[in-house]
Amino acid sequence: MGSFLRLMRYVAKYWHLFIVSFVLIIINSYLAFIPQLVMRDIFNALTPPFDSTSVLGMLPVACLTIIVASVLSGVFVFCRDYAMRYVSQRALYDLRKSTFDALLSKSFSFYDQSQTGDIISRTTSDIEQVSRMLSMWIPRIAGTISTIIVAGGILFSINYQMTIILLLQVPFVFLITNRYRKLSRPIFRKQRKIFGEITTFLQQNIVGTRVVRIFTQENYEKGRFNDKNTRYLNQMLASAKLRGFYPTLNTLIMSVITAVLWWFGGGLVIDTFGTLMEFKWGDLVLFIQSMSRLTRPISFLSMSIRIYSQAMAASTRVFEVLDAEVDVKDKSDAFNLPSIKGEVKFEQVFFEYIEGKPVLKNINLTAEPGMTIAILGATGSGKSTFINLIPRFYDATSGRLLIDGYDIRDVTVKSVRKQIGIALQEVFLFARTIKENIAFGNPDVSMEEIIEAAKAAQAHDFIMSFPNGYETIVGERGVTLSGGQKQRITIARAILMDPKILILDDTTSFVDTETEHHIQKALETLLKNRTTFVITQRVSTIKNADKIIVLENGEIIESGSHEELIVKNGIYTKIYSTQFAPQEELTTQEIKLR
Amino acid sequence: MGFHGGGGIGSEQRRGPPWMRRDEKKKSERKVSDKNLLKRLIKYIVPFRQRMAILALLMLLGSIAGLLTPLLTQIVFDNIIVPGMVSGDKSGLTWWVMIMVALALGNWGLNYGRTYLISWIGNSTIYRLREDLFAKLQVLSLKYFAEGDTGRTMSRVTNDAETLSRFLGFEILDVISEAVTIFGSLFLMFSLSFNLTLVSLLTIPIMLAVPLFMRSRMRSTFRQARQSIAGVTSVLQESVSGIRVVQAFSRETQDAKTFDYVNMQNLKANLRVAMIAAFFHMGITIVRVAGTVILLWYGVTQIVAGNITLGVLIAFQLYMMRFMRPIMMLANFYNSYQEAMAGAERIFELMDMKIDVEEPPKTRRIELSQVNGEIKYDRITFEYEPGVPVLKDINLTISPNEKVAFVGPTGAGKTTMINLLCRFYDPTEGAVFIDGHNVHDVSFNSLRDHMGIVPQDSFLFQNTVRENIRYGKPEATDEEIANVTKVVGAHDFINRLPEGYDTMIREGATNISIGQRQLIAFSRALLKNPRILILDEATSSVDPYTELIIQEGLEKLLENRTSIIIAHRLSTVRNADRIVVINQGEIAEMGNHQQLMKKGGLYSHLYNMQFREPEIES
Repeated sequence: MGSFLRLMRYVAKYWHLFIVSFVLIIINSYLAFIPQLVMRDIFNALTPPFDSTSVLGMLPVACLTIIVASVLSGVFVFCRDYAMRYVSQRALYDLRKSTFDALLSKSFSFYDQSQTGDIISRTTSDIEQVSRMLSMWIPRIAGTISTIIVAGGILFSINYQMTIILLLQVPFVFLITNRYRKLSRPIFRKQRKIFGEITTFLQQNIVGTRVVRIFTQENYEKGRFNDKNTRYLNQMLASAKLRGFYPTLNTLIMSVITAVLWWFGGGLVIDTFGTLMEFKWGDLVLFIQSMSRLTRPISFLSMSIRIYSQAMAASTRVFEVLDAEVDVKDKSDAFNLPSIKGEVKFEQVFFEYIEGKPVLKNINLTAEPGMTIAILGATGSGKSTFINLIPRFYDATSGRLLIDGYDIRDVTVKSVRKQIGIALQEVFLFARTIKENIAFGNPDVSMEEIIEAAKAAQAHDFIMSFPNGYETIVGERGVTLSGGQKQRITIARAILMDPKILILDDTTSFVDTETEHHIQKALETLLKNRTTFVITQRVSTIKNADKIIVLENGEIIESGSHEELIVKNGIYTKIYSTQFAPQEELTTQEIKLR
Repeated sequence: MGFHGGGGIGSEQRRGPPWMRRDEKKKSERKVSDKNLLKRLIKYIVPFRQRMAILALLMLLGSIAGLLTPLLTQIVFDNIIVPGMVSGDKSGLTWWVMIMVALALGNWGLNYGRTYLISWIGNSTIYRLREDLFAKLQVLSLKYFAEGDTGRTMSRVTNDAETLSRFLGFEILDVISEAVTIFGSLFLMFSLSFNLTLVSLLTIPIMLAVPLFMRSRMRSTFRQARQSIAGVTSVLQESVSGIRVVQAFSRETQDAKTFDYVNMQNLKANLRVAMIAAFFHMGITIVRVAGTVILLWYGVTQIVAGNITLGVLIAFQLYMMRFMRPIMMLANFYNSYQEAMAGAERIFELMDMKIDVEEPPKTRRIELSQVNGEIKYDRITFEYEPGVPVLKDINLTISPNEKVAFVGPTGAGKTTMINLLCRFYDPTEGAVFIDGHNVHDVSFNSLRDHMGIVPQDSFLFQNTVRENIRYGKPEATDEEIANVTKVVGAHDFINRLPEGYDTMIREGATNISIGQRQLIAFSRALLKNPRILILDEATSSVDPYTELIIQEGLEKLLENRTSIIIAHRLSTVRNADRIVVINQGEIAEMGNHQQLMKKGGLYSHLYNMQFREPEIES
């Protein structure tokens, strides 16, 4: 019920349309009943012995009444249909919008734990299911209830016993429907879940095609897909079984009640014939026809319950996304970080992704404005985590991080990130033009500035080699770039931010030596007056850094300039001598001996 | 809709998101005829013909039961109630009611079987369809994946298949059974009263004309709705995948705008659908009333004239209701049919996608059971796009057990060399030979089984580390896995992961670093113990310390295998038997480290830049 009330909040905005629809629904349930009432009069007039001329005289008015009532009803139905669909489509739009906004605000830790395919199916098919319920379920329920009351009232005034028999169907239908709902809900939830799995799996397979082919695992992949596919099929069939049994049980009940109506009503017609309290055959026909008129709305009701349970399962999944906790958020009294000089200070910083497993331990470090800090360390030593803390992608578990003396948790996230340029290790380009990708953080810059940034990142030349130059679309629907080309665009993107703090996380690993050399040279001028954090495998960058820190298991074990560290004769010296120093004079044997 | 492409850059940004800039306009008309689509759909149902037959029988019985009810109504009226009014005899009612209840019970059973069978057939069909689509994705050339859009491809396998399933499951057979009802009703109606039947049928042509009239409008509206939802998925997919970049650059507002745009397009398209559907509904309702009125008028005059009884008129009214229902259904069916055909077209379009790189037919396919490891590139020219050669007339022979390094600037064509060897693409000219066999004639499996490739992007699956490593050799023991990971220096960090080898790799492998990913990908390739090992920038993001471990281990590993190493870090390649320097699609120079250094060409230039210059600079 919680999900339902919350959904209603999305619809509440359009309450006026709702009221209009409800009024239309109520009027319509009377209008729709008029033709039957008119026919009842005519049939009653046909009770033998009847007067031909008076019956024929009734016809024009009767037919006109039916036509007017029905045309009005048609127009009302049109308005109602459109209004309800409008509301549901609007709600769909709003819900999707707020989900998307929520997605944008979620912290990195949220994405670390969730899967793209799953998020997408929640935001598309789940939300659509919710909307379908809104457009179908609500008007139908309202229509059914209103019809039962309006038609029930009129029928009651004609014959109360027959009305009671007629309305007997309602409790039956409710009981059956309720039972159906209880049984089907878990199945629908499973269906959604498996469908989400299928989507995720599919996406993985598409993105990872190359690996599948390389390892000739096409059959294995097919097997796994079919396994999920089969589970989905089974759940679909399980729900079909329920659907076959319960809703049709409703039909059975109604047929039986109709038979009873005939039996009782027919008897009544025979018994009261010629008496004062005559129950005429026109009345009988009215009841029988009302029965079949009610059958459809009430069976819709049971169908709506099915949609309701699916939609509730779907909306729960949508709200889960909306409600997922945002770890990194602005404090209520957060202010904008003023223009910074670029001093970064780590004070006893600890960080753990999982409780009890610290990834960073007691980091203390001060980077003066304009300094270049190179971070060195084995895989998994915490290098990326270290730099992820600076733009507040995560918050330190304990300790603090200061930029120009401001604790970054006291200022707005946006104002921090706006002043930091980052080239992430994870190269991600959008399927847009190269120009848009470079200007991603700064869409309003001039073309000259974009070209300048691209030149600094050594990307200009290869960009110009494409027929469409900067307007070339990259990615899935455009040009495929090599790893090194992507990295250079990433660097240009970060440079264009003109940040006081620049973070380069292993951004030149795919770039060839010559290009890297040029990037390096260009960076030298660019890095002046910027505090820079660099993770790299490249010797020249490391050697030229103002400070090199060596991380091991989340701790800083060595720190200092190249000259300082080389003298220490520690880990840095070992790495430097084996990996970085020119050594064509040495044989492999000799390398090993060191 | 306003996508005209071109125009200024700024305006283009406002006009629409990139996914819509291309090809959307062309798609407004369907290319494949309904007949062809249906034929292919039917092929999917044929395997279930036995169940289909049972279903048809159930439906026929159901229709007959339905047809009997109005007739029974006429009988109860004219033969029981009317005489009863005179004689006061009610006994006929009781047995009549018994028959009605018996019919209802029978109908219930029929309904149950029918619902289940329909769902069974519909879902099983879609199961097969999905299976086939997925299988197709496994053989489609890599070119498709380089160009295609993941979101759209997925939408075909999920959304489109779902629409089709609804259509096959609920609609198509219902229409068949309704057809039986129509003809049955007609027959019985004519037998009751010829004139009344003719009058009743007066409005039918209009009923049929309305859907025909609205046909093409509905078609294109539904297609637009479909396309716009694919757009929503596509933008969503991109934003979610690139969320880290979005947040790092504080682009949340702009992204929200882009999404708002596609979301709005979808809303508009859906509202158009709503408008048309509501309009249609109204039109049908009004025509239907006309039918009711005509029947009433003529029927009553006929009763007054003594030509028919009231029972007959009531039976007619009931028949007309049964008659109208199938027609209403036909209208609804038409909607679903439209949606389903649009979906089917997109599905079959994917299924029919041409495979550029085709496996040779089984009859003349070579299975390589053993490979020596001799690789020969024979006058290879390759173009991804016509007229833009990436490789130009490459001739290169690699002997068994040779260790060859490809070196050269980005975009020189190194990875393409490997793509041709694995037959991810076919050369534009020339051929690649393994042990003297043209790779064009070799089965994919036997070709790739002998190769271990560590690709540039080191994609990992959402599975445990262990499963990822043994991806190419599912039967590998834990010991074998550990042996391999020790060699590449991955064992230690894997053990440090929260659950060691059982740690789940998340989507995009975001829970481990790129260097770690590369080491896992490296282990995965080595575990196969391939004859030919290809390292495409396999350790570019591995830290220098780990790189040292790998180099030591590799020495042993590369013995007795042919290996191709692509690396920018020249410390990795200097021990190769032969270094092939590729520049702008051509082999610029070749030789071992010493030879090339002496030569003073491109290689020595690159090498000096990497190792010497920093010293000079500092």
